[in-house]
Amino acid sequence: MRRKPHWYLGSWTDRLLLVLAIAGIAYTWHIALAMAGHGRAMVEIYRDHVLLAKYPLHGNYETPLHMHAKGTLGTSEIVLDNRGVYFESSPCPNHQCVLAGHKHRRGDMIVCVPNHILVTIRGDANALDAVAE
Amino acid sequence: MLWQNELMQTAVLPHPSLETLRRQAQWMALLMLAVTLHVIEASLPSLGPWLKPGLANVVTLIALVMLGPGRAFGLAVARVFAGAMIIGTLFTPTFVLSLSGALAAAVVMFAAWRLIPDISLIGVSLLGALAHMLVQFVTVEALFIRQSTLYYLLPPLLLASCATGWLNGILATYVTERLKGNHG
Repeated sequence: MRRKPHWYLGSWTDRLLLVLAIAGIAYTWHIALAMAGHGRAMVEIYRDHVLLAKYPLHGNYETPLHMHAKGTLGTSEIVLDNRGVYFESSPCPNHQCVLAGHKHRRGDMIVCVPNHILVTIRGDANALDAVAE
Repeated sequence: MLWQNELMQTAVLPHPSLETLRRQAQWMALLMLAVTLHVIEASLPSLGPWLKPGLANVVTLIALVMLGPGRAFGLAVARVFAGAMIIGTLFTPTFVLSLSGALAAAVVMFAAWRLIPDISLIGVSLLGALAHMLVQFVTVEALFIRQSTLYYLLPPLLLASCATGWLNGILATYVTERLKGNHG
């Protein structure tokens, strides 16, 4: 028995599912970008849902700003400089957060799951404020 | 002669049929393959945070076609446990995420395989990859980070899941057709 030509394109059902998935993702992406906020970009550091620190992304950071976030496993060192924000060190086993490198765009995020630390860049006026304006 | 027949019958231990043995051997071979891929993926440099090609899931898809949903589900769970024991991540956050993702992908893939008409392994793999990523995020948000901001990361990663899911589906289709002797 021979395979159907272009079998790697899937069946019509597969293609329909792909289109629906991409449409759904595009919609949620649009929502996510809107929720990332407007106004001045701010770096927010959370431990779980507790906001530990909040700094403007674009400041005068000729001397990098070192922040220490105490998490479940220990202290993560987060650095804010003129290139953006990054994890300098972390007590987590895989160091995925350190390997993520610099983040500098609104909506960017670095997550350290084992240490429960989240670093995110958002606008200081959130989407609901923007609607109210 | 009657007592000889009775003796013969009692001496013969009940044993599984050849077909059952063949299926068990296939399951074990697929499990070893899945664990190997799981370990290799864990040791490869990451494509990005949260992003893995999900090659071990190809084996679950192959098991789904060759052995049926029940054994494929067992394989997906056994693969996560065995892989975590080898890597040394058993009962760590990595293991919890891996298990939740694998379970979600397995349930969604089996439901799609049974319920959606005209779906191929490619579509099944696509839905499995999306379910895997989505449930991993829900697990992280519920158990570890507890910060809904996390979901902003989800759309680009779901898009990447579409690509890896589709490619894994192509690979699984190719392998299953080869195994069935339909390679043309």
